[in-house]
Amino acid sequence: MKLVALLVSISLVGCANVPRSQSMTYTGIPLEQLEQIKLGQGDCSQIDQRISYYEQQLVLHGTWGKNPEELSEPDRRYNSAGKILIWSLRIGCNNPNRYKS
Amino acid sequence: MKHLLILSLVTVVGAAQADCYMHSDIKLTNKIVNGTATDYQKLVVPDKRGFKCVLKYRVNIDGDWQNAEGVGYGKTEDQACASAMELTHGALLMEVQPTKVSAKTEMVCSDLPDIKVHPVKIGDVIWESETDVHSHPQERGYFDYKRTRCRMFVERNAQFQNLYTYQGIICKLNTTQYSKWQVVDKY
Repeated sequence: MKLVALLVSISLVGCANVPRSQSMTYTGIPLEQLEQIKLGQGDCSQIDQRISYYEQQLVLHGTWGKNPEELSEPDRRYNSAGKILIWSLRIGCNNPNRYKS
Repeated sequence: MKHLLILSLVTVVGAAQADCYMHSDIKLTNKIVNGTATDYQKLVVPDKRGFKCVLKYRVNIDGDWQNAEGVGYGKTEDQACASAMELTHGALLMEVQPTKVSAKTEMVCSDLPDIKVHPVKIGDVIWESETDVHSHPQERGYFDYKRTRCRMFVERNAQFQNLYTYQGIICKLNTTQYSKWQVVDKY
């Protein structure tokens, strides 16, 4: 639940409202699917597999290891969605006291 | 006399361009500083008491980075710098404003690099305060990643008439107070 709250709060900052490109082709899961993924505490028990999977999507999409300035707007958005999931897991699962009030 | 006046004016202008600051009367407390001080740069000189340590560092107040300076004395360099590092021994440094300079003004000029927020790239090695803290206070805290201290940052960048807000992660290179940070991700 806390991971979901983290994801939502990060998403507010990380994503701009920019129209999606209709002509873009890519391999990997669609952006819409990536953006709809909700993380929970259960994902922490499989953190390595989850992160590896999201990293693989970014590799397939060709955005892995690139700075956002180098990317087109649709690619930047895809990259951002994947990185938010990856860092939500890394931060939320390994720092259990971070979001305790 | 005229030559002396011109020389004085040139000196004042030159000093202002060489990263000079005015000592403020604002003493630091834990209440006004978010988190801890960071990006310590030290200058140690011999002193009649042993050593004098002048620490220039950065503090975050209400989301903005500001320069501060602390002075400490001790029999050893470590003692002097430990004393200078105490927040209550520090004061904010203010930008030099010619209209506010008077005979009483204590001006500090230094060859130490002046730290400012600027765009960064993945892999860059930087001072912590070269990136802005996250806009959400909840996300400003430090966290552990691969046994290092890390934090999120945001970067606002105007490109092609659009304002982009990126975020990213920086992590400390080592555990010392004087460590720089590395940009490990940005998206």
